[in-house]
Amino acid sequence: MNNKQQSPLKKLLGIRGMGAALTAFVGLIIIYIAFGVINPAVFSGQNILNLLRSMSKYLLIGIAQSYVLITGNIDLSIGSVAGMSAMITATLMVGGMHPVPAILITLLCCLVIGVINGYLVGKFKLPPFIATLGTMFVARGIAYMVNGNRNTDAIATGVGKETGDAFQNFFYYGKTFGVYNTFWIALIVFVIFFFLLSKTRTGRHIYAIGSNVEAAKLSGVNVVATTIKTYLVSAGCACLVGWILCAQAGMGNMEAGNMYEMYGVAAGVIGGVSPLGGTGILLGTFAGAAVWQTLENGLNMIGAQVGIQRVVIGVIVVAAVLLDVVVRNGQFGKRKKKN
Amino acid sequence: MKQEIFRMERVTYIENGVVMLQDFHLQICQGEIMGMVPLNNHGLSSFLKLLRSNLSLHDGYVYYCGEKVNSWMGPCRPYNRISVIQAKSSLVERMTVTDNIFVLRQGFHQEIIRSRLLRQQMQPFMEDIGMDIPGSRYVEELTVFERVVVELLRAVILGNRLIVLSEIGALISYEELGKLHEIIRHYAGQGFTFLYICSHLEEIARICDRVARLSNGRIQKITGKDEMEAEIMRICPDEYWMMVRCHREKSRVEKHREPVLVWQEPAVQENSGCSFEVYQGECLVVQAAENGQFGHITDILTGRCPMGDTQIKMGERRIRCVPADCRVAVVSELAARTMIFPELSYMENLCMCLARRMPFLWAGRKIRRNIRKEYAGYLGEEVFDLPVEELSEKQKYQMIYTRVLLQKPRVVFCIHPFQGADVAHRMFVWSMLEMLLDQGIAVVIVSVSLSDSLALADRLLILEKGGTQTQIPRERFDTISAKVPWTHLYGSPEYTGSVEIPEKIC
Repeated sequence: MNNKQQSPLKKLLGIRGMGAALTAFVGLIIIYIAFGVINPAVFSGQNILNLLRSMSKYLLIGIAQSYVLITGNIDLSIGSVAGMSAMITATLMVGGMHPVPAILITLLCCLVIGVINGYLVGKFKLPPFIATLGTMFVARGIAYMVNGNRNTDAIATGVGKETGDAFQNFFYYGKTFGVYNTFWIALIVFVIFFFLLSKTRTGRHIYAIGSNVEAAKLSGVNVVATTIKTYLVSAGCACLVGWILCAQAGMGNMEAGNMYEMYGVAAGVIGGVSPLGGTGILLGTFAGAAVWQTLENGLNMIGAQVGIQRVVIGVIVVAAVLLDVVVRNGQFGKRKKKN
Repeated sequence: MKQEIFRMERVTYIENGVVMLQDFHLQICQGEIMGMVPLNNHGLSSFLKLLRSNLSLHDGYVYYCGEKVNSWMGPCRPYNRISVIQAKSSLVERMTVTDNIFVLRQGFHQEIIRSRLLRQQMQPFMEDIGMDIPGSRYVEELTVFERVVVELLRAVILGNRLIVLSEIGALISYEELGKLHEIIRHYAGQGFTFLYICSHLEEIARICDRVARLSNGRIQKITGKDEMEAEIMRICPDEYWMMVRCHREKSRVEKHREPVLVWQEPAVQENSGCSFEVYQGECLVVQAAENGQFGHITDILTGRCPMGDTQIKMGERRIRCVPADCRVAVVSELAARTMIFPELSYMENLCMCLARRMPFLWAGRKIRRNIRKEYAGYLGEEVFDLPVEELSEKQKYQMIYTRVLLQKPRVVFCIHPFQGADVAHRMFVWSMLEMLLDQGIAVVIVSVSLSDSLALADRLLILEKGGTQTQIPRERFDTISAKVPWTHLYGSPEYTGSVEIPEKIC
């Protein structure tokens, strides 16, 4: 069949991972409308803005985890890296350093963790679960140590109220075109990494490694370098989340970013990124992050207990992974041997 | 009269709506070594499945050891005690040989494992067949030949009366194959029955009493030992004969120039070393007396181990990592399974190596559209819209070799390119390799089996035990001791004179 003869919908669904992403979007709309019917305040403009802002953190962490998941690996350290980022930035600013150098130093520290993860997994072939579990503790340990095992004071005490406010506004409280900056930052990062994954050679190499690492090697893909790149993306995004958390609290919290690695997995998996590697698109991660945040927001607004919220979200994650496995097995099952 | 061990009677088996076996008849008697030549692989995997598991049949009956075990009315028992030895090991790695043979079986009930006792129990079996594989050795440390022998031994110890060996000749060297045949004959003499599946009748003729020809899920014909020589001529399609002959005549015209690649590997400790050079448009076949000798070469080719002391040069420039160098391409064994990216599209699979030359290939659609336009006539328009997992074996091979062609390498290394392929697919792989040679690309085939590879070769490099290596040019292929197809086409006086065209082609 020629490409020109395909209907636009068929063409759209033919894009790798698009089916799962669209399913997640449909799910998102259904969930959102359902909560809105129960509590019309869900549809309010302010709630939508808050939803977009809160979703941005999950989107960034989802992008971080999706990159790694597509290569068939996992990064358990991203939550701790986010915490480390928040603590280092806050400590430096409380010490009087201007936010720009503080941000750059923090970024460097986080990227070092990314490189270490990449080397351990790509070069030394450590199981990613174990390697990143180790760096997770290391990063969290640094987050604790950086300010002598206590949270920092308000950043404004170090850099002054004006600079402190500017920092907080830039990353969290400020608005551009009526939407919180956090969302715009996440959107720009999303567009950049979406392009990188879908339109560049590196992107194809990432998919190739997740699909068949041996064949990727034989096709000239530098597996170590590509793995390091994915962990760098992961660490970079986690660092950005750390700045957002720092700006949100106006201080450094040692427990910032706790469990975010799992939120990242959830956002990716709900959006159709396979934990087995090789499939998924960032559009799905976008939908996954939105589903996650809508669920949290909606359950909150209808007055559900925290316990119920966790149960519902947990069930949805398991269902999404189950769907992925069933689809894969189904595909394998119906495969015909042609001679 | 010989006792019947296994019989399939009028078996029709349907899998996912596709008739895999149709009106399938096969009878094997005790102590017999039955051969099977699959002209195409259709139905072969289903047949192997049905040997071990009694799946629902559409029609027919299956008898094993005198009992009806399966029929169209339903299976009488779930499994048959039949061992199948093939490329994929059924042994558990990271466990010792004795653990695999004695502990991992249904009848073993001891809680405390007495390893020394098990090793002592295994010793007489090893002495019986003249082998010396330590029982304490881990499975991953075994050579392919040793692994096959251990699997065979396990089948014997388990008391499985029928043992199936599938395409073993492609895994082990000629000498090892000779030894394996001795072991098979030994156990056949003791009443064990063997089914020897192999695409090469020459190999089957060395060991089997009868041979069954499988085609499209049906046994076409069963031939006795006396008729096998004539059958060899019949079974090979005319086109294949023509391909071999055409290539042979074409190759003689080519004159070798400067080497495009020089491989120098010094002998270090247990690694016996290997050195060779290959010329533009030349096909060099590297064959080893033992499969283990290839380990280092294949590891370097696939990038699994660093180059170490091995030096690979193209002109003056040294290659640091073979897979990373775009002037060299590697086609790994069982390429249709190992070299595809199931989650990626056909175009992505096709252009994976091209992206090394064109970094912005994925940014726009123009180049990909042009590739599609250019190759649609050759590859087929429909394949571009199919998931790669749904492609036929032939289409997968076509995609992989076209990927290599798009890369425009100067040398292509093929590791066991004909392994696991039936006659039709072997012909196809053959034509693909010839296409590369026609483009002036040097092809190095790394294989233990000379069948098929030899016909394509311009030069043969044999790695002997102990590190010596022998080079045999095409003109002297008739001196090769191994009984492989096509050798009769070479050597004086036929080589220098006109080659006799087989009767059936005339």
